[in-house]
Amino acid sequence: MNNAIVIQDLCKGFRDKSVLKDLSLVIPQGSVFGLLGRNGAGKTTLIKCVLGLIKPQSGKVEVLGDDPWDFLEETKERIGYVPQTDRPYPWLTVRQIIDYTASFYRHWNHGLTDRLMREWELASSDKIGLLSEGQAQKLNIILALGHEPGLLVFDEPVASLDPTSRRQFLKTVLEIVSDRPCTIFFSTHITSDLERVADRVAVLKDGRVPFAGELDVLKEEIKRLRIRASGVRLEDFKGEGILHREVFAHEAILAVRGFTPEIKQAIEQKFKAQVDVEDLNLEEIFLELNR
Amino acid sequence: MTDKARAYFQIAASSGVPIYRQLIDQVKTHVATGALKPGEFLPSVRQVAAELEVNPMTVSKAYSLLEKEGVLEFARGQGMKIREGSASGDDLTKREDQMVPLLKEVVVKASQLSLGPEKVTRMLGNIWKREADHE
Amino acid sequence: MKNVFRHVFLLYARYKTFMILAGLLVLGAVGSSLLLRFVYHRFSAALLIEAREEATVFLFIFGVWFMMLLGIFLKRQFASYRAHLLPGYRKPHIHAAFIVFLVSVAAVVAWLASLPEAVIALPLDVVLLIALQGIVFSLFALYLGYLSIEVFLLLIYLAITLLSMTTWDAFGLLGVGSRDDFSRQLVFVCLALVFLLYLRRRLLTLREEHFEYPYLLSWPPKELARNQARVYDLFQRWDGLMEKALGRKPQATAYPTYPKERALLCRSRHWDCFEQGPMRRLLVLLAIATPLYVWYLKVHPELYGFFTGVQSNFLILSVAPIMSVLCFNYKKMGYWQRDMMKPVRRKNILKERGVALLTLLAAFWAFFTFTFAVLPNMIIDPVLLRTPLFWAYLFLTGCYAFAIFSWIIFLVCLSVTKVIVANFIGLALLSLFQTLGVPSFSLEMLFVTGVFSLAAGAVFLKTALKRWYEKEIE
Repeated sequence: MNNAIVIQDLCKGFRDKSVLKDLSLVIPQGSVFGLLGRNGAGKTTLIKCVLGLIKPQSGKVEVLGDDPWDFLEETKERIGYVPQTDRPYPWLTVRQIIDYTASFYRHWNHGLTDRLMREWELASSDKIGLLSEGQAQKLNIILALGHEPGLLVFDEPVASLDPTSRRQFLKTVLEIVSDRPCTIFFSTHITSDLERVADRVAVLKDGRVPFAGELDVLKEEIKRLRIRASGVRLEDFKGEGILHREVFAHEAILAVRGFTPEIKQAIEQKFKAQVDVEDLNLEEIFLELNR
Repeated sequence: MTDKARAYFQIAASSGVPIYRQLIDQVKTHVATGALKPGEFLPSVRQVAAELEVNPMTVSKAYSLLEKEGVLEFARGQGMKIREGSASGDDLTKREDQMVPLLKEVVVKASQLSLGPEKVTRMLGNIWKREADHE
Repeated sequence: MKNVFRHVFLLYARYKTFMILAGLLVLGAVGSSLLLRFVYHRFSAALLIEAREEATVFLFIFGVWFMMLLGIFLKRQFASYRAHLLPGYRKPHIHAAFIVFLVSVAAVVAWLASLPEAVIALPLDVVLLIALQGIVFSLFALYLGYLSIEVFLLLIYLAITLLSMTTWDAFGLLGVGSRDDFSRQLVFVCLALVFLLYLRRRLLTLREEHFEYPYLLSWPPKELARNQARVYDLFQRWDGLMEKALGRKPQATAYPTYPKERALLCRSRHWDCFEQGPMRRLLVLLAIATPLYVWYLKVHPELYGFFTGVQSNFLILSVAPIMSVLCFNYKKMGYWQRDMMKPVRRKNILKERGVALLTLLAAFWAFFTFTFAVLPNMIIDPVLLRTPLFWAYLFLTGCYAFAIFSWIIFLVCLSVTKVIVANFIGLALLSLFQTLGVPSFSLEMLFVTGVFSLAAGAVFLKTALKRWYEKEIE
């Protein structure tokens, strides 16, 4: 199969609230896939459903060709997960928890984990209970990378890291991607990280994924248009591709999806207007998509 | 030459312009200005990705598009090099294309500040003269 | 595979608290066995019985703590994403825990077998069955203790008090230990096995959304608070149903304002104002239960024996109030930091919280004293109520509760674990030896000991207040 993760019509809710509604998403193998969403949009719920930690109410999930609720041992060897916060047994040292985790896997790259510990300034003898949040998070990342999995799933991996550490993390991710075929799926709301590293992006909104695709295509497709003309009204601009529209006295601002130069020309002709096209970075795209 | 990818490329990851497009534009600029001569080798995809801290697939995409457009050529075992004969002929059009975005910005800014075209052209002439005097 | 096992056992070995407790049990068992042999050869039979009771209670209490730790540790290993995502995780952890459990059973059996024959008149196989059932009962209590810490401690406490009635014979009350009734033995053993298998099955398939998952004791306190909040949710729902049944509207969630100008007692009540609603409801339930209790006492006067044993008195009247107060306030540990940021001076916060705890302690002591000392005697032996010795004894239990509680408050602000554990052991031993002598005290002695305890408690409190003022709240 050439898809690492396939999600079809996933539904998941808690008590009276439904979090994920008929969500479908495909994550191809070898991609670095970013999941963007506001806080509380359901990113963690989605990730937990994908990993089989919680059970969806309906729909189908397939990870590396296997059913996540009942992973085979071989599949588990190929998956690495970094949760949002997790502090294992606080009385153990860094070295001890790494050895403990390594004992479960047939393959463990001690050289890699030693190097990462050095680079990220984690001493072997540090007690887990005394680590700061950032250090604990770094430790979790090391624990997920040690067995060199083919699929890495990160849930807000850099939330508690300072900018230097974030950059180190991104570098490590990129090294992994360069070294061997690997699929990386991570959720975050730090768009600048995604822009560096991800080649595909999905936006989670209202329990669905209204936008998913290559990041470059997203940047080329979604633009903001400033239309300078007199006498434009809100009703003049309607259609599927329009994400947001605002009309002022002599100006209208539109955020559009599926932009082509022909659209610009069409608007210029129709309203005898001057149209400026603004490129939007991922943060602005995210804001527009979430209005 | 395969050292310091950063000497050739400068990318803004959080720009509205996709990274691969920035890379393509920069290669074209370098070719047009002669900074990159035909036959010269570009740093490998891996090296560029590692130094600029971007996804190797992005760099790879830029390189293959440049290859398709005929700016780059793949030499077995050695990497990507500038194709012979790419910095000639439509040199001028290419160089003019580089200027257009900047000039557009000037026009937009001028209209925001309510400065007319004659005024701006005059200002441009003065500044040009001053820069030329400095050199 | 073997490598995994080694690492799981290392988890236990590196867990200091666990190893200390295990060490204590081994020492206690060996020590008591030697002591009992020594006593047997030198002293009277009565002292022997007394010593046996002490040893059993001591070992039982610590044994239960050990089992509690084992259960919590087991839960911790499973209530984690690792259980699902690490290959080959579940079986080694279950098996390792089971081995530890078997070793403890073997240790108990060895201890029982090592006691001089006059001490136990039970044959070894029955002893084995008793040990197995006793320990499985602890595990069962642990599983139910998934519900919340309070329920768990309550269950353990009930177990201790029941069994401490007359420690050895109480086993008979559970229907355990009598060689003549083989069928009852068999039933218990089968139940024990069924329970163990069910626990194993549950652990093998434990998932995040199973009801037991969040009720995990985890450190630091903020994790604890979060998980306990999920448990509390359950009780809140019952609360809501009860409110509806009584036809009352749900309680307003607005806090009353902090009574800045009023007396210390008023101010101290404010810290617990969130719990006052549930407390009131609890009192309603107790009021309903009291007539039933009175009736039960009338019908089963043999329970009276329960209430006259010194150990049971000690446990019910001195220790139970303390444990109840600790249970009610355990969750608040998660909010220390936030409370310290409130616009009240630190010294005042400490004093008010202290007073709140002490008033709660007094309330619980009064409740336990009335329910378990005064009320049964009113029904069964009213004459006793007129003797000053009875009231002096109750006075002593109250003072003693105060002293122990102050000691605990003092202990908690020491950050060195070893000192705390040493103190705790010292306290436990002191209390046990104390109970040996108390039945023979005269009125004056009771009064003097009580006053001395009050003084000791006051000293501890004052020192604790100073230390808490300096302590870093994390």
